[in-house]
Amino acid sequence: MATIRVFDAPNNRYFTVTVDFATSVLDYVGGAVTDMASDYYIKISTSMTKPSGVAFPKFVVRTLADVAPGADVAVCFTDLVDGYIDYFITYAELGQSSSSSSSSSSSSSFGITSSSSSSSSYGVTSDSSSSSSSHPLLP
Amino acid sequence: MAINVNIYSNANNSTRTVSFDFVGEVMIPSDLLGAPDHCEQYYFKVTTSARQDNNATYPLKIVRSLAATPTNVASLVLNGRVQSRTNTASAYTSVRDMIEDYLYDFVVGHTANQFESGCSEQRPMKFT
Repeated sequence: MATIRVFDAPNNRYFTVTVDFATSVLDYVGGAVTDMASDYYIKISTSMTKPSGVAFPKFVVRTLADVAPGADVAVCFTDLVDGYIDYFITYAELGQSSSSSSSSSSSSSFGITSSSSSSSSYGVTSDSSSSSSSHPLLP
Repeated sequence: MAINVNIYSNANNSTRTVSFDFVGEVMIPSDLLGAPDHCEQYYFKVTTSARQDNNATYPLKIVRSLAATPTNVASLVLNGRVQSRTNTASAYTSVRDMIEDYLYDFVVGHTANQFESGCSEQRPMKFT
């Protein structure tokens, strides 16, 4: 299991993104009932919340195409996890001014050095996207 | 959470375990393809205390992706390039597919350069 700490420097507080590996039968994948065979998958969740206070859903990752909403298909697990971290930080609106809830390109830096590379761990340049796509979620 | 997969040999009435763990760490890759990245990376670590039938231990296996490309993250079980069960260079279709192929390769083993993958020999798993 990987636990990523995200430091919200302006507010001196920490959030976590948890990436856990699990096995079980999954009931639904992509909106369809599964074959009920035992499956292996990664669960991604976060303690960050949206500005409204609503929690983010937990995401189930079975393939490298199960990326964060609006993200491109990942080349590797690092790209995939970084995409989720970017997504959570962007939609939690951490480090953004209250007047810019969505912009075409925004940079956020938190605690640890960030870079524009998609392989960075924290607070990277994020491309906000308001599009949503169907995605395997845990209930 | 690491997942330990038990493999039971009915013929030998014995069980061996392979562990799959998903981690986030700064990694210095042994192959040093490209410059070492100081940033945290996320990947599967595959380990086992089981032995090959020549009593050799298994090396640690790192799975960074489900595909054979790009080269620096290629993770198909035979030298990153070929699947063991199917002799294909196509990507694993899912995490489950990847795990099953790695388990297959542990149990069955492979010859040196099997399927022209450039891999080194791995003996079948020992259950005695």
